[in-house]
Amino acid sequence: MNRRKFLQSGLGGLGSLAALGLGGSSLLMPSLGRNARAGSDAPLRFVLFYTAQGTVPSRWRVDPEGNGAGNDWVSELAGWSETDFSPMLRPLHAWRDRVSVFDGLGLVSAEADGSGFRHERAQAHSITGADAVWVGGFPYAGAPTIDQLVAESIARADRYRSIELSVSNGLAYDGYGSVIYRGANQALPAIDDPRVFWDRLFGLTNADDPITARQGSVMDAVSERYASVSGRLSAEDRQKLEVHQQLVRSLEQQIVGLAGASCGNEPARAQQYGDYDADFEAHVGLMTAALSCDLTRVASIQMGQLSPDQLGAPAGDVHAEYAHGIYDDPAAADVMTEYGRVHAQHFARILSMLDSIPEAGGTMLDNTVVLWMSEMADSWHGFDTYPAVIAGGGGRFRLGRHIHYARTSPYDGLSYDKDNRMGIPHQKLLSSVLTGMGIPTDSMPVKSVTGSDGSSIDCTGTLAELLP
Amino acid sequence: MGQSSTALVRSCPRRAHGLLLGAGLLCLGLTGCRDDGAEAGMSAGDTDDGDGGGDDSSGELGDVNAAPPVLHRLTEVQINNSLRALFDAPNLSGVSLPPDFEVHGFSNNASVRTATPYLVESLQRDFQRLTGELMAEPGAWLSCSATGGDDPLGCGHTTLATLGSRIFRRPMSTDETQWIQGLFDTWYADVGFDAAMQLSLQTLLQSPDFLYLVEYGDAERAQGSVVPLTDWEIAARMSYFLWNSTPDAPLRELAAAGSLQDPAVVREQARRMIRDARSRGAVLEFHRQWFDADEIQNITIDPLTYFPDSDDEEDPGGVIALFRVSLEHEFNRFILDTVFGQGTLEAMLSSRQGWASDITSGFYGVSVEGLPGDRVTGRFGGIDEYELTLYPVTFPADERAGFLTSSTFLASHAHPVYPSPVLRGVFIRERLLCQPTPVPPDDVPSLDEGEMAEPKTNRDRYSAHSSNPACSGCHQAIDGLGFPFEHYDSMGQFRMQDNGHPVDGSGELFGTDVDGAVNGGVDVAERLAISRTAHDCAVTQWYRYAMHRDEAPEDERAIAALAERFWSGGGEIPNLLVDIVSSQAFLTRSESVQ
Repeated sequence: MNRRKFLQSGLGGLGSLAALGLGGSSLLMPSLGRNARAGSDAPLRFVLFYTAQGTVPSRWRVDPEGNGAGNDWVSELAGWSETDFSPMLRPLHAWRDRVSVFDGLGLVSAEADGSGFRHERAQAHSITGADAVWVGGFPYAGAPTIDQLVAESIARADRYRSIELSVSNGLAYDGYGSVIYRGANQALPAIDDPRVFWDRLFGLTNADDPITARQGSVMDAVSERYASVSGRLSAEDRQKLEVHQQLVRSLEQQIVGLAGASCGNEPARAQQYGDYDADFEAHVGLMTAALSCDLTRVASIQMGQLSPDQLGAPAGDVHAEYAHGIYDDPAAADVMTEYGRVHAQHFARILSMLDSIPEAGGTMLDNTVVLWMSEMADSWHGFDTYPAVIAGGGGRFRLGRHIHYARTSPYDGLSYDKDNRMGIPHQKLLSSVLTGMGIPTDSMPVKSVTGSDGSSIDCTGTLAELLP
Repeated sequence: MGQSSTALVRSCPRRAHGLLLGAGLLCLGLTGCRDDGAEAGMSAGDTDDGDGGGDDSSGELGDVNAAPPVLHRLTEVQINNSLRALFDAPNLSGVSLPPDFEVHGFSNNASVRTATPYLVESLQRDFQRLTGELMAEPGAWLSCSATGGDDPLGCGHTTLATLGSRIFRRPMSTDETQWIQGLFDTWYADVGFDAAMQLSLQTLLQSPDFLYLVEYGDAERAQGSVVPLTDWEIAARMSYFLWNSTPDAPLRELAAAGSLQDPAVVREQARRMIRDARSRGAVLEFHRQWFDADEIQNITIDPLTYFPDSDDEEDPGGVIALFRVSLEHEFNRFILDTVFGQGTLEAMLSSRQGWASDITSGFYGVSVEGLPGDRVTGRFGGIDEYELTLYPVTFPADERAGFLTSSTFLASHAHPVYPSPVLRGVFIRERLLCQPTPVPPDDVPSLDEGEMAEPKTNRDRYSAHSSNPACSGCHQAIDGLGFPFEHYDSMGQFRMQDNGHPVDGSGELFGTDVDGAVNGGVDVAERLAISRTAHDCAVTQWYRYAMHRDEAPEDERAIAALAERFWSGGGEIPNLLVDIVSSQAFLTRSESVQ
């Protein structure tokens, strides 16, 4: 098959990174790490890995020590055998000292925010911790997504603020085609074609070119023009031009910065586009290069729908034919378990790529926080038992742990087992990730939800189990 | 079958006078209402015949207000068409921008097109590249040689003054002219003529005056909150709507003379512009978005089911890639033939004329042998070449009728193996009837086949929706439109049998002026082709596209006036476009009250 061939010849294979010149320390950009931890020269980065369809809770949840679902508990993964790992997460066994796995979060605020639109609501809440904004009767993300919040703090003004990627066009359910938002109802488009990504990163003209060198003064002139035009417009129109003007100003610094950045041996430009695994592989290779050369510090990858042939399932539509049936049909549960396992492999692949770059006495993975999140908790449209995995970051988080929370939020949401409680609000995870990244955060936009019994469910605070 | 239902419906006096709603429905019960001539459908209301003669006033469109406009940024195709026109450079490569988000299928909705970092960066980078291309081989727009000739400063000044006004789509003020000439002077002293020209052009092209349809209106003539547009603003709105490009010389001359304040002149110009070949791309772009035609490039096709003999199915040049590309060409030709031929929505939804290729004729069950072929070539993703021969065909009348029975629609609203009555039904409801489908309930039961032994047909699998009380309310409205298309598999092949069982293509229309039982896709299509609901919806869709936004409550009367004329005039699309550009909504700005 083409895919296999491409994997072997292109950016695929662990060994190929070195062959592409990404493994050498000559690539490293020294002393750029204003935000880096004490004692490390490398900057801190953030990668969001976003998949759809949640999990199959019974295939995600494991409890090898018999701690009980009704209790909060933490188990050190170091002692887990490969078969102790749940079927979905088995690909992460090799990374057990570098990841922490969550079981027992709940998208409580999403459950409380309107009705219907479960994919869309979950998507809007999951990575913002905010209520949706409803535009024309449809819910869209109502606040910046977590990667954008991180970028606000750690991005360099003279480099790409963040990079948005998708594979197989991602799986945004809100109709915009991207799950990443810069602000309320302001989605950011993702690059799907690795060739386009390559062109963006490496298709730059060089800084010695007199025209490139004067782009700063072009941006000055353009910015001036925006100011003079927008002054005469209505408030709404003016706001649009002001956004544009502000971006022109930021671009000025970016052009200068990027023109001066050198990335050593660039990865090869992909020859083709449209094969799921090959595109993923190429994206991750380029993303790794961009992070290692400090072209950007924040990236996200939104994964598109997996196809039946990737799951070893009969031809058909994954969403329509399997996703909804995880509780009623063991065959559907098998297919969706495989769905999660394939994504766990993707996640592991990102970790191995980052880990292959030596940096500041460790590897780039030590200076990169990688977060795996999903839209809904499960593909039956449930919002409870929301899955998440965090990796990397060299000591910023307590890794190597399986962290389980009991259902303690008195919210009677949609649940297959008719339980009238949900897990702890996922806002606590988002706040913890930001805090661990050096952005002290006590709460996300939704601070509390009124429970079904009238009590207030607290969504603030961080998770002691995750933060050192 | 097709014959009787066609004649039955066509012969109804639907367009005679104001008494329109329900006419189609009434007709269904009247067995005598048939076969008295196909002319009935076309006889009334055809006063605007596209030649600009006769009674060509904007009539009741003149005094109807609209909601406040939203600032429109040119789309990628509008920028590229403009550049090619401004520099008379048909082969200029153009900018390549991040994709726009769609609202109701339209990717020109200004409400969601706020600039992003990637967009601004792409514009800067691409304009830098393009101005390099332009200066490498300058055309007549540069009033000297590429090195500046004897008087480089003079040449730069003249060129920028002339070109600046073209780029800004209005005469530049003295201040503006001095501004760009001053920048040029500085850059000229620094890096010489060629580079200074490039930098100056980059500045003009990244200015809001080019990238946005900046409109101030003529405040002195404002009436309350309604501000008439200036002639230049009218010219820009017209040319970007009808051509996706910048105004041409005749339009600019009329704007300079102040003639576009007269709606009759606007109408005359609109007719001229629609006759011009440049309208073809713009009309096509609208239909591609309205009808989701590009979806055919993204769908998954199961090769084992539909292309079992091929082993190179998804390779560039493979049969599935060719299938997709063939449908794209067929769709484009069908839309253009229809809009610029018969011109009616009715024809678009019921015509038996269309196109097929060697790849698709088998799926359509038509023979192309002996037909005059039309060879087209192109490149997949701009790289690998392909070649196709397209044939004008007449489809079997009882199997096909217009766009809804084309594989472009049918295959892109299907799953890899099984067609989807839900996707098809939802599309028709939302795009052709403008009736958004309510959201599914929170607790969507899976399609539980437990109670039903092995489902016999695709329809059986989906019927669970309608039999489950939690779902049946909405699914009746969706499935009633979708089930009649069960006669078409995931590729759009006509079938009488599904899984060895007879296809049940019965359904029902709700919420339209042509409600009632239907049987088969042809029946649905022909019913919608003469439906007032569908005609009104087409007007709403065009309005959304023309105004770069969703309709608001304040637009109700403006849309109703357009819809009334569209319907009573026989549903002729070119006339609708003329009406839109000469409507008050299009020629003024309603400023929101602060």
